[in-house]
Amino acid sequence: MISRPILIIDMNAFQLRNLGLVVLVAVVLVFGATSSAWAMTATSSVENQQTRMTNLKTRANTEIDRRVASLSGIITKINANKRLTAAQKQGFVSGINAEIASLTSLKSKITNDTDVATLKSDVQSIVTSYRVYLLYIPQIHILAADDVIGTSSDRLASLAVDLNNRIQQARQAGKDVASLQASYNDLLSKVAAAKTAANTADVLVIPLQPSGYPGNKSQLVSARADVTAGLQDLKAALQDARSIMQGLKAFEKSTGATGSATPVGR
Amino acid sequence: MIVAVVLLVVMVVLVAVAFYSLKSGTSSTPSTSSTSPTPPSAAAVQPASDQKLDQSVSKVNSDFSNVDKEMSGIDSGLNDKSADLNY
Repeated sequence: MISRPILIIDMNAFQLRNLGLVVLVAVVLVFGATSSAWAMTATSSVENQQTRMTNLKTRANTEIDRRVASLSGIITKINANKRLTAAQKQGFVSGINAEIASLTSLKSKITNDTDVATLKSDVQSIVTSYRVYLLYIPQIHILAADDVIGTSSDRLASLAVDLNNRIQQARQAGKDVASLQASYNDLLSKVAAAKTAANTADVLVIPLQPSGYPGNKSQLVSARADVTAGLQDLKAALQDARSIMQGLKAFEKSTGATGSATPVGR
Repeated sequence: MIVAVVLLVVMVVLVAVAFYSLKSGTSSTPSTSSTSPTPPSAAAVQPASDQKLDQSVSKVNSDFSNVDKEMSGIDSGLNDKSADLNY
């Protein structure tokens, strides 16, 4: 009677040993598998991080190269501008060269970045800390456009002098030049308006400083509208000039006949 | 027979010479169109002053193209879309 429990205990002990062995093997297996999976995951994560860093560096370098190329291009425009003073040109060029130097240095730093946090911060600074670029590009293009508008206005004013001489000759020859005279007056008015628009844009844009960006972006937008208006004025002035030329040609064709010539296009 | 052939040859030569003389005489007749150069059409010659005006118009048109290019530059700056720099 007494030995039965001992047998039971012995059997249970045997079973327990087996069970313990099984559990041990299972734990070892699970641990091994988990460790292996963890190691694989960790390796994959490192590889992903490296790939992402490499891709980000590539995109950042491309962006910096694009900005440096644009900034180098506008230096040429500044030096060619006939409306800026030497001091104004010097100010713009030195500011742009400093920006190019900073971007070039940043590119080198990004290339050598080894940790994600530093890389992220450096890359974001292309947009957040290098806003000089965002001011200079539209600013210098506005000034270049104003320069062309000024040159074109002078060209049209000179053309107007020639056309007026011909209109007066036609008048002295007895032609009715009323409509040509009206076109001529409109031509002068439009040329003057174009010059005013270009000057207004210059006054708005020249004093803008990178430190004021993006607060001063509205002035860039306003100056852009002035450039557009100036261009429209010039186009209207050219249309006037063409109208006068066609009217004068009509006079030449009708030499000997009296009467007025209605310019085409008016 | 030989005499006849010789006469025939002589006749052919004479006819050929006569024909050539006649032809060259006609072509050498001076004609007004060939001796006097055709004056250029009045319409083809543009007065210098007109050319100057047209050149001015052409330059102004070129100015417009240049302003349009600068407008593109202005817009690219104002609407700068930086490359996707998110990590």
